[in-house]
Amino acid sequence: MTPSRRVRAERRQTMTIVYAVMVSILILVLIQYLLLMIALEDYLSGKRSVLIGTAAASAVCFAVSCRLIGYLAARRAPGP
Amino acid sequence: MVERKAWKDDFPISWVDDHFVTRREFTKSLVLVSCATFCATGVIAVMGRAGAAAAAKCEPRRIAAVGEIRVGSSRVFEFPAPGDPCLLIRLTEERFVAFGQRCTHLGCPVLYRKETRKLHCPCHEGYFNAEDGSVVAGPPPRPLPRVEIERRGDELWATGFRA
Repeated sequence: MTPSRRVRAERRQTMTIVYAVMVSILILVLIQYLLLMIALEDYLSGKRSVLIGTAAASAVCFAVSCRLIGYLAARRAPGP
Repeated sequence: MVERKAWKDDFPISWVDDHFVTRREFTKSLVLVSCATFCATGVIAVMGRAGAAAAAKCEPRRIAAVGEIRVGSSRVFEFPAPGDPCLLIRLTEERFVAFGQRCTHLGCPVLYRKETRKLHCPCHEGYFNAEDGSVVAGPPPRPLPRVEIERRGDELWATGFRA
């Protein structure tokens, strides 16, 4: 494989990873949004039975998002 | 002198100065949204815990004497704190019920309708059952919070909220 083709292949691979991370974090944010709605509904109804659970699940989603963005930052940015 | 082209006045956007958001920047901003959502959920959880603790230790309060309220009438009282309106209703000779007066839709005060035995929110035509506070019609998403009532001799006392 010539160097230019290798560079292009690496760039394509990096872009695939960037897209995968972006979509994963987007899904996690949507899940967090649903959790927020569930927590708000639970709080306003006065039941207060799932508040800690939703906060814990949201924390896990946030931690996974941080891990993914850390992984992305550790990879070399694609060239121009 | 270089003459300024007319089309530049109509489209004054500089390609060089335009700011593009890269995929990485967008992903970082998603993480910030994730952080904000987590913080909001955490704040709700903390407020819920604090509210539950406050409700657990709310002081019983005298509402009225039994003879002060006629059958089919109602009375507004404040519980558990001043500024928290509740509604006491005498359904029959022996049956008293009380609910939080704020509509669960947008917080308008609900009123008791003796003819229909329903609680009516005049703001958006919400109706609640006066027996248990459940939603009968209209936009309210949840039942009214029910106040526990205790009869002590000839007096009625509010003791807490029923979950």
